[in-house]
Amino acid sequence: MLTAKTLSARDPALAARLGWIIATPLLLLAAMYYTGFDPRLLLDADTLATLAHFAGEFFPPSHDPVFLASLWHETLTTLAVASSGTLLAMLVGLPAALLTSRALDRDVLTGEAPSRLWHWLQNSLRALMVILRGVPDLVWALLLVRAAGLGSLPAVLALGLAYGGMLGKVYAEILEAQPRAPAAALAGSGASRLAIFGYALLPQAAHELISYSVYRWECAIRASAVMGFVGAGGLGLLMDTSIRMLNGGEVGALLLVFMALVALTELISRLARHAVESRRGGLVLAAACILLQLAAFGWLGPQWQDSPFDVGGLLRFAGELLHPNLAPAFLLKVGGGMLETLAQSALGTAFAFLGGALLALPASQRGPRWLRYPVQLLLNILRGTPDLLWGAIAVLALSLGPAAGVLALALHTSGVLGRLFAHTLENLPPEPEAALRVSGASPVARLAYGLLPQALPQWIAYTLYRWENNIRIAAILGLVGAGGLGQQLYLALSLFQLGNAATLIAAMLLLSWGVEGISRWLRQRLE
Amino acid sequence: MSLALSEATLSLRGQRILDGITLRLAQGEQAALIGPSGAGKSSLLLLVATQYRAASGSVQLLGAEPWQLDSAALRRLRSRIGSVYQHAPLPALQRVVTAVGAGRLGQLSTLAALRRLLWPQDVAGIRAALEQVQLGDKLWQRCDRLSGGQRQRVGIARALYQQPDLLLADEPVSALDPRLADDTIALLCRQAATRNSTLLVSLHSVELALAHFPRLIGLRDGQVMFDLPRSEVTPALLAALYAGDTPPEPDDTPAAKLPRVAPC
Repeated sequence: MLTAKTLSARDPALAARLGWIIATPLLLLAAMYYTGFDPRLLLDADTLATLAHFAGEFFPPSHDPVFLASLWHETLTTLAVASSGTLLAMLVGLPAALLTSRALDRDVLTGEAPSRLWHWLQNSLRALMVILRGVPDLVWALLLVRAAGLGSLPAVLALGLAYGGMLGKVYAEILEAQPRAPAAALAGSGASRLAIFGYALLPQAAHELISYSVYRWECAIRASAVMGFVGAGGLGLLMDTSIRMLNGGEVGALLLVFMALVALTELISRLARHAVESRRGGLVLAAACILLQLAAFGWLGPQWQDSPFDVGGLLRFAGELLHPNLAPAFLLKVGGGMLETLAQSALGTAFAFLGGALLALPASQRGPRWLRYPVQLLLNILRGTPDLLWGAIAVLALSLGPAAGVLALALHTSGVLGRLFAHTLENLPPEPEAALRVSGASPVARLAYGLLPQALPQWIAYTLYRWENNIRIAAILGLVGAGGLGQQLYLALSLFQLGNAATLIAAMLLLSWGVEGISRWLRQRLE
Repeated sequence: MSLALSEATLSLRGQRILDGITLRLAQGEQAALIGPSGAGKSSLLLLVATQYRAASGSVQLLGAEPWQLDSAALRRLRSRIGSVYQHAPLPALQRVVTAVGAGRLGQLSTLAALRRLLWPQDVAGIRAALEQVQLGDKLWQRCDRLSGGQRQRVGIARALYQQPDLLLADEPVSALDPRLADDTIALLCRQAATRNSTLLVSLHSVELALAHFPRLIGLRDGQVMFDLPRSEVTPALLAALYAGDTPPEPDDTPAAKLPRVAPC
């Protein structure tokens, strides 16, 4: 079609491009000003000396028998909490998905008149799921610890609620992505919702449902490893103590265990997702899951015997949370906290994008071998160390405040993104770059014209997803003194100001939804 | 001599792909490469494009031995050799203007190349190249919004924009309808003749080869079976060349998908 626009000699995308090129650094500069994060601080001799001194104390890792015994105990608790929490999340998520998935709606499948009441109920359930997953798991744990006492029980419940909301949405979406014909045929012959699921959708979607659940378990291990920071048991408990005591040797030992856990769960997760492919593998996987759940319950059950958990107390607590503090002066303060959290998450993620991009090239298969393995090791250390722990370390280096939160997010996320970016690079079709090579393009030009145009959209999509994650983490980094909403929430809960806590949690929800919306909008522009 | 292969062999992953190829094309000469699928047509073109290096024998391109050159001289040589691929190697989300402009990267400094990425240069020249393949209106489009045939023609426009002294094309019209295919081959021949560039094109269609090229090279099992002027290519010769050939399944490489799952 010959329109004025397509025939113009001027680049029609130029204005938008210039806009992005000018607006992005300006926004980041504003965020840097607001959070007080100065990248030059990282090269400051004092900061580096503090960090080097602290890191130097990691060696040798503590091998005190008493410490090692509790390390073993808490490692098992962490694994058990993650497994039971994932099971609980599936018990929440699967029914929710079956009730809300449009793939099972009769009116969608057969064209019958929709039922108003049913859709109203579905939407209410969806809204509940949104709240369940919108509140960070650590905040759930923080609340449940207040209501149900210290220990691993609140951690399991927190994972069940937060991940239940997530699984409910993702399961429903997986069902909606399946071919519709078999379900429509069954619906036409009058089958019930459950029958349609069992006979038409489950056979198609089983692999995807299982592999996503396994992947969620992998995430749950990382989450349960830091639950102890709010008193909910597991390795985080030891980590919190060791950092407060500035016991470098213990922190070193804990870090080694964290990395080993992350590596182990990734291996198991990969094996499990592979096992689903064959019938025998599926049976082995099912047996392993049942054994794991029994073992987890056997390990955690005795711990829960003397838990002060009582449903009445929980309900009273929840009731008090329904009265948020809406005083203007307090709302203004919360608004400031929201802005700070938003700036922290955006800035940390942006620096992580740069860090990840810089590390991805040498970490991928195109890097020379002598450089590749050290860089991969660095990436594993960066992402193997939980964000909350980076927060605690950054607070030591930069002192209390939002700048430490930015640094923590940037470091942890650089590791996560660097690995994903390298993976992306390795899986790109090589033809565009090869064609440029044989037409004489220089290495940098090949990168800019052949490789990055393919990699960049995927990198940006990953970064945006990660930003959605980081806004939640930024909201809780305050728990270790790294600024943002978390600091206010921790204070409110410590002083039993539940009205304030309720407002702060609502603010976290709003932020999380806002960032999800922006991220979705930006990702659609990439397509 | 624009292109001179002498007893060139090529092995990939331990398999002999090309075996003792001897072939000479004078500057400005035009020839078609025909043969059954799997005969080694694409590999021969990639060998000449310096994508592959011959295991033995010699390869001379535009008067130079590519693998004896230092990297700067090799780049200069490569910038004079243009390639059209069956599946145009265009990044899905790159715009046509950038993809075609990339044809001249070998002639630009790295800095100039990066500047063009932000601010397209020589838009008129790029548009002119696109208009030759009737895609002038697609200048600002993204490559993944084009049909397979349009992508193939953008690939041709890129090679034309490069203005090479040696132009290689591997099944350049496989995704085009017969009339457009005919026009496009005619365009390649005409452009090569105007610039006195050497042209070597592999074609699946013998009719197109006979209609447009004075010289046909038949390749079978990695060897040159015949290398004759058009008038001496007999039906019996063609039948022997294609004996037992099964046409390949058409394949289309899907565009890269954006990730759908948030990493934890």
